Amino acid sequence: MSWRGVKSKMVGKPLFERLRENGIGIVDVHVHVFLDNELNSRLFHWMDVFNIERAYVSISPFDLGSLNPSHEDVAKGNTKVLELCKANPRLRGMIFVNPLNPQDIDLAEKLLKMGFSGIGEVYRSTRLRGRVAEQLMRLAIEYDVPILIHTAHRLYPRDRPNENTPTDIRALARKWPRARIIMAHVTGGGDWEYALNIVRDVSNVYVDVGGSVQDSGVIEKAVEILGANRILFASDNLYAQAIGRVESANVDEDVKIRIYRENAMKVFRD
Amino acid sequence: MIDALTFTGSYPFRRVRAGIEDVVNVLRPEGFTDIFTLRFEALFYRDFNEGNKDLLNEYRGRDWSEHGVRVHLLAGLNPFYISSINEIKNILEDFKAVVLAPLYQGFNISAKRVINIVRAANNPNLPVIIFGYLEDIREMHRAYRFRYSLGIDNVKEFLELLKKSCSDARVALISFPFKTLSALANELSKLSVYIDVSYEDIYGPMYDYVKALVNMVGEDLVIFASKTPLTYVKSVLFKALYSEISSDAKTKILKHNAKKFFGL
Repeated sequence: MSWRGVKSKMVGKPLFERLRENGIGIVDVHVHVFLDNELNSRLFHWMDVFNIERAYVSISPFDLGSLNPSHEDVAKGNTKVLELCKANPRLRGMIFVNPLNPQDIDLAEKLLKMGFSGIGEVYRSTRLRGRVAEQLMRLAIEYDVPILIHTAHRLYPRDRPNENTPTDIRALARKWPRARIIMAHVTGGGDWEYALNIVRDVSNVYVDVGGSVQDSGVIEKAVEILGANRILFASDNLYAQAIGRVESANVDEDVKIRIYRENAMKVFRD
Repeated sequence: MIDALTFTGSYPFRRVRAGIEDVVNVLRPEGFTDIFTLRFEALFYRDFNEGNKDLLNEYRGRDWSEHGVRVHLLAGLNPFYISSINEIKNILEDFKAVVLAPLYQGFNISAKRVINIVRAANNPNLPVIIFGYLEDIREMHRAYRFRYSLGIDNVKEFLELLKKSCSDARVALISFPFKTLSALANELSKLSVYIDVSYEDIYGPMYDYVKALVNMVGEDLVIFASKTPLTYVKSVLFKALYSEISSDAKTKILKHNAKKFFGL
């Protein structure tokens, strides 16, 4: 049997394809661009394949040379994001910040004034606690933008140093109730049932469902625990898995559409 | 399309329960016509064969072809829970392949007895699946810390023994980390050991996971396994469907390679 024969046996079209036919695209709240333009071209190809209408992009942390990158490297990464956003109307800029660099806060403010849409992904240089978090959270609140925070969801056999956990996110959200916090990639590895339960009662925490984990039930569980409005579609650059996750989930189509785009538009006020 | 590994029964660490019909109902709409299934309990019960019996009991007495699919049974087997290799012929009657899962059944993959089992299973013409991980390594439940590992060295030792003792055996490594597979790519190709697409542990710039596997061992040695109901089938399936490999390669991965491996 030919490949076409195999494909024709698939019953029904995926929702993302049907949305495309109706001129509706998907909003990806967590995806990384690169210093290398060839990689960016490939990324844009996958965005086309999977009907991504809008993508909130930050520079790939792995392009910055270190988990604790210098201000110069951070600035270089953000400049690349700015350049790509100007050239590609589908992209919205997210500001990469290393909270340990005091100059990064000034840079972030400057970029917010230039129209960047949010802060993050705040990566793995430090856990966001106390004074380290304060300036960043104040900035997000003042400019009324969401902040996307890399989170490890209780890893086996133990958490890694300098990496935010769901309890860090909960504490931040309680301390800064006016901030809109996106807890990154609940499906990015670790104990997602734990993560969802820990942020259950903090309504200013949203979860993105990007990453590599293909476990069944995670979308259904997230809807059950958090409600359908706090779940945001994200790829974290792994599109087949991310789209497949939403397509497979046993939830109503209107919930999938909220996850695919509507919730993100509310969180980003776009 | 053929799904080389699904599960029925109950997974102990998360609310995942499924009968054969549940698995069929997930996979048939996607276009799968042949489904291979193993009982979770054949991995987790101390007496693995109780799990196999549960699977047989559920399977028998139903005409599964009414559902438009062929269901094939996989037997779990703990090489160290039988008194003699001769026993396995009775155990394996009615099954299409043997699954050995060192991490869950608790044994060392490079033990000589494992090779003896592979040889004995191949003798009545049954292929052997060496099963890696049910979950992403980072989310393994804290309740279990196994004595046995499936590191590169262990698997390499197993492949060396396989080469010496029964190099023509039909063997697949299912749900193994990319890092392990890529470190052993040469050995896997030389021995014609099959690998599958269900795991996902390479991250970064838009990896095409299935293409990476094909580049590693060639398009004739990659098969499709979803691990339904543990995983969202479309998350695994889309990796293959939207991969930038040729249409012929996709057809092989989704159908013909598994036919060859299982001898359908």
